[in-house]
Amino acid sequence: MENLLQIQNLEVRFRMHKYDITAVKGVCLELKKDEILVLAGESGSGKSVAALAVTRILPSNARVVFGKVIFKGRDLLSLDETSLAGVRGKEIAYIFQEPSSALNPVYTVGNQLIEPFMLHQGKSPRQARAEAEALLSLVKIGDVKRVMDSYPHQLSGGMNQRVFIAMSLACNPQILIADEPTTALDVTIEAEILKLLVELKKKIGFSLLFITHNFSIARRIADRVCVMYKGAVVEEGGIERIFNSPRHFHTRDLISAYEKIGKI
Amino acid sequence: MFLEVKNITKDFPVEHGMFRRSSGVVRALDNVSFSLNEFETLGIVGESGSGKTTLAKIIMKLLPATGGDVRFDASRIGNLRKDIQIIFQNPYNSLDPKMRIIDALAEPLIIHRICPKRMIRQTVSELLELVGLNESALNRLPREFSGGERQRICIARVLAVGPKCIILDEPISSLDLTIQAKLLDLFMGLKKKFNLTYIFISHNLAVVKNITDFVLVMKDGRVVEQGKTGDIFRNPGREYTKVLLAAAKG
Repeated sequence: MENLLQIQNLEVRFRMHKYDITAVKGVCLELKKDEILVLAGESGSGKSVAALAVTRILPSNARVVFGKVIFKGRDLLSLDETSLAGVRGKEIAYIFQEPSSALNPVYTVGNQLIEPFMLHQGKSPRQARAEAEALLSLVKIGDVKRVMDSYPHQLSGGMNQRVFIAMSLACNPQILIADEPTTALDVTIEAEILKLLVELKKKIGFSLLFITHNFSIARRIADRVCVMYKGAVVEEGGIERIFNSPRHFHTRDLISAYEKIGKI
Repeated sequence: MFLEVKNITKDFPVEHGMFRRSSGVVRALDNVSFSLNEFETLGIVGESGSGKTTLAKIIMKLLPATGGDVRFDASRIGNLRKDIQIIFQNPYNSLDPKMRIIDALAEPLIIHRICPKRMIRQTVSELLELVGLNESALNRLPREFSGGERQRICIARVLAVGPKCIILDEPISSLDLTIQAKLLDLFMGLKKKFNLTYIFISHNLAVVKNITDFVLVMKDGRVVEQGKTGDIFRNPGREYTKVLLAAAKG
């Protein structure tokens, strides 16, 4: 399968009070077309930072000191801001851990959902609204009209995550980067959201980069797994191989934690 | 019985508008009953909104119940505020950000007159050791610790007063899976060491599988099913329990 996205030798540093911290060093990753790649690791292992660096949405005290992110023959890290804005959210979209805080609390769901259509596709507000309603049914929200007119705080966490997924899919992205999208949710809701993501991927045909600390999720959805530890990729392989014969001790830690807690 | 909860019902008023007119009630708990022996671990499982935390707060007498009653064995529990302790989900919120660790842990020692002033520093160090931290933590602030370490500090603070029963309200849900596994080991080690009785609240059946003796499954304020953990996992009687099991399995 062809490589859709290639991260090469990525190194990201954070400027702290007295010294710099290297959060990601020498990370190489490939995301193939139509695959689900799970990026696993404990908190602080650099998985989110690597994912955010892809479209340069890192915090202001972080900088990429080395590396390339190749997408469609272009290096996103050296692309100018205007061209990158056309990729970000349009061709590479994100969903995050806390849907309730990722959505704007002072706008109704409808008003936020029409934005990508108007911004990236130049649609009229009326057309955009129709598109937004179609999206909400796509993510299996039953009560579309009510949700459109609700504020995020009036909806549950699972519902907000569905809205956020809908928003990220507005422009038919080729890559969806999901940064722990189910960590703040109940297990029952988590199972529903995972199922939804896999279904949507089949229907729409994007590649999914899924970040998690929970190996039970890898077990359920992954084609391939990449394990990060202390800023570096320590192991990579097909899901069966990783589970059957993990090589790095951190992979074994993650699997044994899953066997103890995540598994019935 | 160490703890007997009988027909607990809890209504919250729904208030509207500027003058907080009451327009009916939400029934958060509906006729909940269970009992627990000393030294046993009870798991309470359910989705968000099922009333687990409300039930914990009523057992702790942090909230008054609308109906029913909670009874502890009077011969075992003298001072409720000392003998029953609770640990919450979010260790970021349950430590005072401006209190050094030594002060946070000294407070219960002073309030409950556990040890003389000159012994406090040593007692706090011993408590930290119990939860796998060391003296270097004494003069630091909560923000200098990770989520898992903060939860360990909360555990040390709870142990300071020598409780008989600890209510663990989703104590590991906000942490990484690897850290969750380590904390579960810590909980079970401490239980053995101090002969504790646990009530362990979780939304995930998989978490309570290995550590509880009994399980109470809740939905919408009601007890859907209760029984021995092994029986419930092998042979769930209710549809809802099966749904929870399936969700945990994936």
